[in-house]
Amino acid sequence: MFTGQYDVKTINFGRETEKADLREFLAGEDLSLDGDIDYAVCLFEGDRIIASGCAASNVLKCIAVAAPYQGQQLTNRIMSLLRIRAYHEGFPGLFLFTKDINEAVFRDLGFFPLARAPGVILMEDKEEGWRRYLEELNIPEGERGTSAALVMNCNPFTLGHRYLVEMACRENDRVHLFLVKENLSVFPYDVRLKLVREGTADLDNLSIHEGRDYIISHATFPTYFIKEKKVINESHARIDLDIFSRLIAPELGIVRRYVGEEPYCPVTSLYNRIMEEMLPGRGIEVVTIPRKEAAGGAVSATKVRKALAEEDWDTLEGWVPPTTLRFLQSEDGRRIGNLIRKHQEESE
Amino acid sequence: MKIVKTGMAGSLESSDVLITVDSNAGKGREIDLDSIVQRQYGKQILKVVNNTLDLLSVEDIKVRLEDKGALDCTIRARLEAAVYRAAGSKTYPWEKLS
Amino acid sequence: MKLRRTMLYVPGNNAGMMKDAHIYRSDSVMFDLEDSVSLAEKDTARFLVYNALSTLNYEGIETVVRINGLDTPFGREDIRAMVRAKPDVIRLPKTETAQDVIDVEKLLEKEEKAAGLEVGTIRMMAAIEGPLGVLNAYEIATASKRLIGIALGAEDFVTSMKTNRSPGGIELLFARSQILTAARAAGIYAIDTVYSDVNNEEGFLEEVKLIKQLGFDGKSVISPRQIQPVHNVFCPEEKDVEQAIRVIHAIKEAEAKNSGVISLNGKMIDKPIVDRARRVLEMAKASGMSIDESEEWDHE
Repeated sequence: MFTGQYDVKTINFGRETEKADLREFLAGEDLSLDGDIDYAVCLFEGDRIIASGCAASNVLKCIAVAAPYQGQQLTNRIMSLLRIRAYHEGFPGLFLFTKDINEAVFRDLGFFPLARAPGVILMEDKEEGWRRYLEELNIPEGERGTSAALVMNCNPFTLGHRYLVEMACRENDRVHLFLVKENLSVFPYDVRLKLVREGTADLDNLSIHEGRDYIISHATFPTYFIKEKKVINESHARIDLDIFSRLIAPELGIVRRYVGEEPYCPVTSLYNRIMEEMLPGRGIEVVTIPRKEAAGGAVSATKVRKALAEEDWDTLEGWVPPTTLRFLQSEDGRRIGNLIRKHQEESE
Repeated sequence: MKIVKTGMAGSLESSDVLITVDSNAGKGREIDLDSIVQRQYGKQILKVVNNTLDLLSVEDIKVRLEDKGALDCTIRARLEAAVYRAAGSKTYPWEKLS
Repeated sequence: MKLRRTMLYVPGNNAGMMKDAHIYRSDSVMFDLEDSVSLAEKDTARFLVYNALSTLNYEGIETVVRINGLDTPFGREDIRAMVRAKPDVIRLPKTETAQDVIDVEKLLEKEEKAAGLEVGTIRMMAAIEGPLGVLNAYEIATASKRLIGIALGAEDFVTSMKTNRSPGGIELLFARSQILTAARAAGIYAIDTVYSDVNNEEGFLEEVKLIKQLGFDGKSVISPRQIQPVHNVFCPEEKDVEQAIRVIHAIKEAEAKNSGVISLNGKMIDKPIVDRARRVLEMAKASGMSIDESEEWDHE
């Protein structure tokens, strides 16, 4: 009758018992409490959770109503709470991860389908929000047309990255480099962007773009950013690649995607494997470039960060371009080195 | 009133409406209505929206309504709240609201 | 004589409940801007209640708005808005002293003047929700001519008293008695607290019987399901109705004879008995009993 009869409570993630109750409720709904979830609101009957809605910043997920309580519009209630909360938090837009069978439910609650993977769907609170993203990239007419693409994090920009970009620029008329925007890397986005720009200033057929929201973001590919868990969620990789191949690439005329070979990181290597599987069928050739060898083996950003923490400038000189080296040796660069060292010590 | 940021008010529960408003500088009113009673009441809802915006002297605005069968007075209440939030105003001239 | 057996509690930000609040025929509906509305949504709830009251027809049901206290950033704006929305009654939360009532009254007066309303249009009701308020009950009850009643809010009260609510309600005995006595001494209504376990119909019924026996005029209810049980308990028995009719006839008789003294069966009838007779008849009518006073008169 009056739906006011259920108590609304937010979960305090600092309290293990509350988290455990939520985890248990979600497990019963065939959902898991992802590590990136930072907000959850639940409806309670007495002490028991009967409905939940969670968020990892602007991505809504784990929205469920226990079977005996369905048919009372409790999903509408949960979604209202999540959307108003997101508004007060100041998120400009919302994404929503759900099982594909729930698509119609969430269409009625203001969301539009964005990308799909078997069994799951990523939705957004605006129709074709990705078009606005592409418009905002402001790509001049002269830089459109048949082209290749790279998606990189560059944490920080190394000779390995340089090698990959150079190769792509040599083999294509136009190359779009999408730099992952998500600020979860130790080198902030602004620094990463600066170093990429400086390190590729001589490549005049390269366009560098901000890779936010629709390209390897916490919305499209959350597990990429929860690497410590080493849980590889294939669906997330497929969602990300669905957006790239179906929406972004055709608009920009991208027919090739360049990737560096990834023998170490399981998440990236799985991502690359799915890329090989999905993209060619959608008219995009995947070009895998073996790692650039230098003194001491293949260059990788992980190794660069380690050497920076140890202030091993001689080794760094062989691994990064002079532009990056200059930054690493600056005060800001050394500060980041200290951060890495502290982090390493803590995890040891 | 001038819309300076996003404003949102309401809910998706039965008999309510979730209204999101945004700036639309120099481009007039852009109203996007999605209602479960669109066919029967769509025109009436737009009339309520326009009358309320007239009353609040809002010229340029984007309005998105996700309507779950709200009464006219509820649509008015939600729109007023969203507009005041979007205008960043906390002084409410109650005597002028009808 | 106005009946206040049931006051249906409606969260101020719930459009659906606000729309339907009157169809359950409680004696009063109370729109809440206070505890049921989160801090971030105080503004939207105010707009919603304002528009509902200014537009919807509650078909003669008394409308009450519980405002936020003046010690919050919301109370003053609530009063400004609600005076213009014109509910019948403004309910103060957490009333501790007579001054709390006087402070709200002053603001009401100021806003009534500003809005061009007759001063005193909006009545008041004070909820007592703490030990200090209970001790000051009589001062509170007599602090303003606008007051139509005082109410117990037990949830906060029991917490302050270092206890919790029990089925028998022994922990509320003093507060209920004090509030009730204060209300009676002041000549205003006494309304009992909510019973929050909507699924426990038996426990609810027991509590309603208890507070009726104590002498309360009615109870705040949080679900439409709780309305009819209260009305049933408050429905007068046939013999009380008959007695009430006799009393009313005696009054009319005295009026017809232009006599200042009302008597029935040789005994004098004074004011409390007259009041009770009127109340019993109101309640009987509200409970759906058919009463035709004039017809009865002819038979006698």
